[in-house]
Amino acid sequence: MKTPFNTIEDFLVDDSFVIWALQLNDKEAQKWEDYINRHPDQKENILQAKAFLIKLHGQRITPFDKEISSDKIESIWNRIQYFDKVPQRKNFGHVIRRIAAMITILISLSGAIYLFYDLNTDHIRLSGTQIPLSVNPDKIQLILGDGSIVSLEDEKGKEIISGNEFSAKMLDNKTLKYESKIYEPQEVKYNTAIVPRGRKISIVLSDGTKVWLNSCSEFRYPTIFDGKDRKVELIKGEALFDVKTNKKNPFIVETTDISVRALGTTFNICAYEKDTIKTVLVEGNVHMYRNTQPYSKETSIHIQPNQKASYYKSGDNIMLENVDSYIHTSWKDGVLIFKNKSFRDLLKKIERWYDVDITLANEELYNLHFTGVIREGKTIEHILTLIKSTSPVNYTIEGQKVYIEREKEI
Amino acid sequence: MEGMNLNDKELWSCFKQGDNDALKLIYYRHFKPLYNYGRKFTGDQGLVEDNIQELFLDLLSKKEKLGDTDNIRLYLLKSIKRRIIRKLYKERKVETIDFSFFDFAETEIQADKKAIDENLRNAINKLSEQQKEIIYLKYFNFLGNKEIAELLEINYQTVRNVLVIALKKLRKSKSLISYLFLIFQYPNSISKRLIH
Repeated sequence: MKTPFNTIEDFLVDDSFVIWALQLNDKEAQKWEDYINRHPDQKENILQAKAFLIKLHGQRITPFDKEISSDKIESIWNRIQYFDKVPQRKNFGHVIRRIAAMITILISLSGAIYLFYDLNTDHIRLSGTQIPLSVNPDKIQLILGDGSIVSLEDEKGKEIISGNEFSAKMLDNKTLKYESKIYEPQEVKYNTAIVPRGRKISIVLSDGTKVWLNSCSEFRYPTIFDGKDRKVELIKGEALFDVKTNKKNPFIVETTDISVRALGTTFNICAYEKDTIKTVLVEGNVHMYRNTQPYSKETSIHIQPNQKASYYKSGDNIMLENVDSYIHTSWKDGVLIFKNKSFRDLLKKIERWYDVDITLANEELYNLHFTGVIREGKTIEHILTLIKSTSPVNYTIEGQKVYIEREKEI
Repeated sequence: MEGMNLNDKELWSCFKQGDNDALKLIYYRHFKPLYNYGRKFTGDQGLVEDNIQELFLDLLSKKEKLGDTDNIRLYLLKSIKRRIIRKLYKERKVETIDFSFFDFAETEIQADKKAIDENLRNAINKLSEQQKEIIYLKYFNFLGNKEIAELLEINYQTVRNVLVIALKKLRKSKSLISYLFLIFQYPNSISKRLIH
């Protein structure tokens, strides 16, 4: 101990003293106990300094981390994991340097949007941040067992349904949680959630299973599960399930034509298109089977993690392929990821997210392809500006209608 | 997770050898302090999130080239500060960096009522930005004086001097609560004082 300790401040600024006083670890303990024994005249100062440090530390001056939920921290981690897997492009050359100038301009225009040319595929690459959904005034609605309709209020802690057998509360402005007050219901009652365009919600069912519903979805589920199979119904749209493990009571999602059966797992079902129903598995294992016959292991398709099973109604066939599951589930984190997606598919997603109708004036524009990432942020103008700045198009917005046409040659 | 007992140097070298769990541990251990520190420079939450994301992506892509560190917190705080300031400078928003990170929100007060001392909080709020920053780094992120000097690019002795002045101001704000605390904790020393 080189520095002589005379005042209380001398102790307070000493690194080792702080570690000892706040008990960050016990490496310094012996040293300070010895010191007190050798300098009894300093004991008073030491105790005062220690008490002051404990009090100062008790003021908890870290207010900002309250802004950020643990879900958010997790979703940023997922993004890091995802982006790390996206292969790096080589030989940027002068094209990238030219674009680099554009990046700066766009950042100042729109918050934070980056643009890259993907030289490998000669397609435009969008990589953006800060594009939140525009808020649709249409509310998410619940149809209750007796046929009455309630709108979900975006109010934290608000009790939406309060009954003798169960309650449903808003955990935050986008999670509705069911809680059972009884062990087993005499008869199973159902609620149906209807999610309009431009909205999303997650529902925690009475068994603890979490369901994220994407825009334009309808989902029917028991308010309390009875002791048998846990059956829910995705009437239309897209849902991601994080199923609470329960080997005795399998979790079954029924759609118009097929069902998916799981014991405890995370998977995404997309049933937007009239002809196709897609299931992507994140982890665990699930079986997909046709509704025309009851479940049996032999007649069902076994889906493994990072596989996508597509059911085609017209041919009544199921196709299995390997995919990157995060691309299909990132919408839950407010991220849209496109890999070489056609303009047609991209616009469909934008229509659902932003609650707009988009018309393309020139048929050949559908052939444009995009690779990129868009995160929930501000307005649809940002995405359209982004598309415009990388593709030969112009857009006009009138209310909920968007019109996109080929850029006129000057 | 196994990494719980590793010190920073070991954890860092695990990560550099490609252990993804090590990075995950680093991420979750340091996210909130990084976020808090980043928000000091900007009111834009998204900007801080983006920069943390990019910082970790860079760590992943450059892990073979990274040097050793025995203080991950310092390393990360340095990077996040550099990144955010660079970004703000590019957007010419750099002059707005006067955001005070000791503005207590209402909810914050509810958090731990017993420990909260209004006098002390007011005294902290009255400190200069540099004093606040150093107090924050030292007593809430437990950086040493040398590390603070490195992060703020100032002289080691300056750190000590600023700290001593700030601490004297804060200690003057001592209220009844702290005396009660002392009575409770150290009856002997207090009774001695009362006699004087």
